[in-house]
Amino acid sequence: MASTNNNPKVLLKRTFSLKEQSSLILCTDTMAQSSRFVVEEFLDNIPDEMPIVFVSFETPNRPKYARQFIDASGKTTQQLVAALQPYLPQPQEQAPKMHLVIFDTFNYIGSESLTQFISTIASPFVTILATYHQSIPAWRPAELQNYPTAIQLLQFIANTVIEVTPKTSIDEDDLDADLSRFVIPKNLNNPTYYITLTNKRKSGRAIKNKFLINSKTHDYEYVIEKQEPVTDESPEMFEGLTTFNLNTSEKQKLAKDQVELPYLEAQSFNSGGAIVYEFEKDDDYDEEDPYEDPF
Amino acid sequence: MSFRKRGEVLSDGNAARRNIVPGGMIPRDMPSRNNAQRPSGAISRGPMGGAAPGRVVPNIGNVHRDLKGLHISGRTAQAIPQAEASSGFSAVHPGIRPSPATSQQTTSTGCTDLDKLMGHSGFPLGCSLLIEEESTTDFNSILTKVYASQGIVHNRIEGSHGFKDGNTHLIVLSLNHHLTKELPGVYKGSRKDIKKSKIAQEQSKVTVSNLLESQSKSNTSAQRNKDLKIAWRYGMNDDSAKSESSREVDQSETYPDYNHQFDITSTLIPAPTSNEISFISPLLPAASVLSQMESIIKRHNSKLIRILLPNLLHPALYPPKMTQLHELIPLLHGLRSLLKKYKERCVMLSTISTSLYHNQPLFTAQIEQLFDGVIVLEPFGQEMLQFLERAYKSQPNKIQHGLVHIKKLPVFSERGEMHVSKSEWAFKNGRKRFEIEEWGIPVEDEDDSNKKNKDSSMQKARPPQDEHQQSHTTNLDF
Amino acid sequence: MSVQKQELQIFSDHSVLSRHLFTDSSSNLVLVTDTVATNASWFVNALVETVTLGGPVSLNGNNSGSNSGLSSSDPVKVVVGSFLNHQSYFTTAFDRLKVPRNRYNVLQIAEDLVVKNVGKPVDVVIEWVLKQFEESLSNSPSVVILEKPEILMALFKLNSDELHLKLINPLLKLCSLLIVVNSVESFDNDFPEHLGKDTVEFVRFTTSCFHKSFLVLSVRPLDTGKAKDVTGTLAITRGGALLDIPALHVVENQYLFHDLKENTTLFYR
Repeated sequence: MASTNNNPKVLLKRTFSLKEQSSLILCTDTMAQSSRFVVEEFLDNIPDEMPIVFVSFETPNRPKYARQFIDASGKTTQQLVAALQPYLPQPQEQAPKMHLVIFDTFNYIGSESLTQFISTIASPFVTILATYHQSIPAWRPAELQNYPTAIQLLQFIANTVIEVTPKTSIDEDDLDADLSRFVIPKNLNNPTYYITLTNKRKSGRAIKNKFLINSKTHDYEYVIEKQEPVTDESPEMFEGLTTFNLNTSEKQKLAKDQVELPYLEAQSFNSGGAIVYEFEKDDDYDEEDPYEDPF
Repeated sequence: MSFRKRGEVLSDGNAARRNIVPGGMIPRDMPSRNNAQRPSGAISRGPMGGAAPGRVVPNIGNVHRDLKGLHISGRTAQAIPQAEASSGFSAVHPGIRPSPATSQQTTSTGCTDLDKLMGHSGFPLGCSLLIEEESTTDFNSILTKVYASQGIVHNRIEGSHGFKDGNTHLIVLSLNHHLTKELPGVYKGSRKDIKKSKIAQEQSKVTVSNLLESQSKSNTSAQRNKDLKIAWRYGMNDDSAKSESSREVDQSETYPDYNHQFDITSTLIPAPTSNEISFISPLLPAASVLSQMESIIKRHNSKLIRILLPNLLHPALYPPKMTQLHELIPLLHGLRSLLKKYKERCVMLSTISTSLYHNQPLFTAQIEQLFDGVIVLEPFGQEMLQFLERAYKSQPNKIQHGLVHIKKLPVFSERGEMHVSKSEWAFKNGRKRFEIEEWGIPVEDEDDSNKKNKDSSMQKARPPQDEHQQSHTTNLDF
Repeated sequence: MSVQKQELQIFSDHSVLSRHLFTDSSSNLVLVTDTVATNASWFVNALVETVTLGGPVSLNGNNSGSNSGLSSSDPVKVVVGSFLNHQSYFTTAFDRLKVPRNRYNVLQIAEDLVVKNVGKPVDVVIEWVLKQFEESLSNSPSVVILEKPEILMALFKLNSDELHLKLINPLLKLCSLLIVVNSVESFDNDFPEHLGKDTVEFVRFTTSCFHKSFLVLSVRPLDTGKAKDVTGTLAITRGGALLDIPALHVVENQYLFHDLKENTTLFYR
């Protein structure tokens, strides 16, 4: 699959159409951008005949695409597993079909039961697509303080992680501050949003790619994270400051880079502070003077 | 009530009322109408409407009852169903008047300035107020004490002893029964005023013989009569125990017995009796507290009930487990329910020291949610006080002791109006009364011209001081 | 500042509460948040008016023209349940607004909530609350207003998840539109986990509501504090859930409002 490594968009498409083998696809979202649209992208790309089981903790209305709708309210994890089992591919089936089990949220399952729950349902013919809301705080009782948090567990177990972030001009820190006060700025939860897709390959390597998704047109745009160069100057920086031309052209930059800086040797501290002094032809060294600096 | 009222009273010759009447002296001089026998029993309703002008002594305890027997058929019968009773009740209770803002019935907190701050000139009936104090000081106890005293004073305005019957009952949720001995007495005025009133009392004594003649005259003489009759009620230290006027029919805002000024250095004598005050332990299970409370409210079914929950969650009074929400909130929620159930005749005041609970804003938010009004006292720190002392060096009684912030006000905030105010008001705890006034950072006193020389040197010193104060006060100003 | 009054509009069909919300059997959640400084009661009243009278008539002091299209031919019932305020609080307000009494029902929940239930297991209490709602709701479309349910977490040993799974979800299924009114007072901490379980549970409850709601309405004071002619802001934003009604969406907006003596006006900056 080397080719897909080079083409992130193809990888994304394959992820959405469930062609990339994955037992657990985790979507993480925040109040700023919900993962609902992402789920729709999956629905848009998977084969029509794939059976979908929808487990609801927070969705009152049965989605039209769900063949089965299981209401998880009021059920313990065991009861939930029991309710799910009949709709999953049975072990004795000859040619089981790939099932997609969608959880609208995993937040209501305690971190201490999460791993076992997932492993009970998971099977080669089941793909779990679940959302975890990162904005929702969770209380950790004392006996679990060293145990990983739910999000840590999920990110560890999942083969595919889709982190949903908003496309907004608001500064991230300001946004966090507002949301923690429950001040909701406009234009969040937009049909256009970013995702950061992490695919874990069987080789162990994880590939991370960022995309901009427009859920109305189902357009995916690959986004390269700009590495902010710290030292590079950009012409825009100097605009409007003075009437002088402070820019450096390419040639000038090249010339600058090639300048040999004096005392470079002195800047290497290998000799631990020794003074490096080179006699030049104009220096005179008086050998008879007892107080002359020895080198 | 302030000096002004006393002035009015003085000129009316009603001074007699305000003095401590040594037991039994004057009564014996009075004509038989004022029999000192019966202390109690009837509902102390005031005059029914302003119906009868020239009606002599409509509401002085015993006499009151006689007259009631005469011309108030059926209106004051104890059997009146609660609704009717209460509407009649609030119309005649000396401590109740309509709010100038909403026309709801309100009663005084005991502190005039606090009444004004609430916007209703008092507590609307059926509402609760929480006073938070943001420091380890204890200014809130002044307010709890005047609140309690106000209730007792209201209660003693009419009936001669007011002990068995009465118009107000105080329920205190505290284990500290000593509160009864710590209540401030009514402010009797400055020494000058006390002298004046003594003189007036002498004067009014002289006119006793003219009583019968002056009965049919104007209200003022009727007032004088009433006052005299009250004057001989022994054991009453209520300076301002004026009779309820028949003026309630008038549109004037004089409800003379609505609130009183209290002298915190004095004590209310005689101490409140079990008819006037009940104690319930707030540490009992909520169900028990609430049922005891409800039975007391029902028992005193014709009275205004003032509930006091002082020093909520004070570490010396409340065990740690009471800071758990499910131990505390049921009590507060249940109290709120009771207040709303009997909203025509109940009010509640509670105080809490929030300096202990700063770490848990959501905890205090849950408590605040259950009160209709929340006011915060923020006493000044040492530096600020010193600054004020310097600024007001020639007028030490202008020094304020802290700021007052408002978080919500009864009725207004419920409607959605925003009444949050921060650093707009300051309080001053004077001997005469607890004052709340607008806050402004004083400019340091420019002393008179003889100090000019000193001033110039002081001025040099001032800017750095001011800067320092600026930075200090910005902490207080939000 | 120009005081040009603005009509309240929430949905893309220019309505405050669209009739499309009530045409099928779906249920949706709306979150309304308020603070100590700005009580949302005026707004709740406006919503009730919209459902029962066709529009938020009391806003802006007169017949607010915005028509939700909620006609009287298929009346939508309003059921109000509050854990903080008594029945009379609402009935007095609704009577003043001349909402016809047969169009709404205010449950008696806060009254004697403690006296009747203290000591009982919380599941019993929740069942009782649900039963009150069930008895007033029928199959016809309805709006339920649930005020300050987080108080249950303070009164009983109940955490946010339990409150959601045992009360909010079942209640959602009983009605077309569930409006939860929640206080966000003192929500001001980046790490509620550091403050303790209580804080976590209150924040968790409201945040979970956010993720389940398609619409969030926030009533808050101005960030700059008090102003003479502005009480606060009303922000209309999407929530975490999707509204699955074709051709209908939430129009995000922010109004300024001013409350004065039981009259509220809305305007823009």
